[in-house]
Amino acid sequence: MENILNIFFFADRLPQWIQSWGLKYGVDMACMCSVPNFFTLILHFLIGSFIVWLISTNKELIKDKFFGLLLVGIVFSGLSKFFDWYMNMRSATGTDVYFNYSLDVLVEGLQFIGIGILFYAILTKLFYVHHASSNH
Amino acid sequence: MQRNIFLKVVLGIGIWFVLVMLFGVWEYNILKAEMGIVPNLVAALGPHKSGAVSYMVQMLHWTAVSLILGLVWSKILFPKRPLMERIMFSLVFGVFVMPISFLIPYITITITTVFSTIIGIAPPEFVGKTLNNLVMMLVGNKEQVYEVANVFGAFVLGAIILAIKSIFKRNSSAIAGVRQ
Repeated sequence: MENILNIFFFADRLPQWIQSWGLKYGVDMACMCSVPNFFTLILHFLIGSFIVWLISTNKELIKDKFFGLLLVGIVFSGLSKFFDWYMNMRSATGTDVYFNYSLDVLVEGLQFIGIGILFYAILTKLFYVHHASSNH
Repeated sequence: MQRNIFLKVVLGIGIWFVLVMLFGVWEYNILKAEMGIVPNLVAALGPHKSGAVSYMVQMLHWTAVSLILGLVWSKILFPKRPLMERIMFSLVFGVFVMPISFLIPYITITITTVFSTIIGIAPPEFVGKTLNNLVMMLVGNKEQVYEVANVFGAFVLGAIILAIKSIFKRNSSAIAGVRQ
């Protein structure tokens, strides 16, 4: 098993040009923090734009609360990701790790509210019960 | 059929990340370790050469690389899906591929340690050695080398598979044309 797992630690066996290519990026901020947050921001932007496009092309959808809630949830969640990415950026471009408790609480709070709104919108859409009319 | 493959692949990547986060972070508290290692690396390297602009260029560069990589692999896995879905897949796939080579040993030793604890035996010898390799990788600041190598390797592999697939498709359509 040790031999199998050692296969994955191949950095020293790589050609020199790949090693220097990787090392020029400096400290790892591309893997676990910044790039995922940056990509998540792009995904939020894509989904938000798609909802705006849907609503603008089909005016009847404005009356449907579901799409409005989805958009609000995406905005909250996207803002959370932006502030998270901002903290990553300050660490990568500064001389020490940037961490602000107030900003971190804001990130978590916005994410929590965003997910709450999205869950509310999706779950009410999925489990909405049509009440029986009074004619029965 | 195509939709099912798309959802299964994205769901599979999601499950992989949940496994890494839940088991890995819980077992080795890797975030705490990084909080200890990264400040030293940041202090040793100094600030980013051109500040935020250079950093943004790095982000945009990784985005472009992930999009190219993802578009190649989505062409193999689900060629008929709309471009929007393929772009969304590309970003998820890029983050999946970048750390894949060191996350495989990482998740292997994590699961081994968790099961060893549940069974009540000492973890096998390879766990300690592999953990040492991972720590050495972090301390040596070689994550970026692996990320570049993983993305480059996945791109080459994808391009080869796509080329073989297109040759087979061309040959089979040529044979079908001759039969008609």
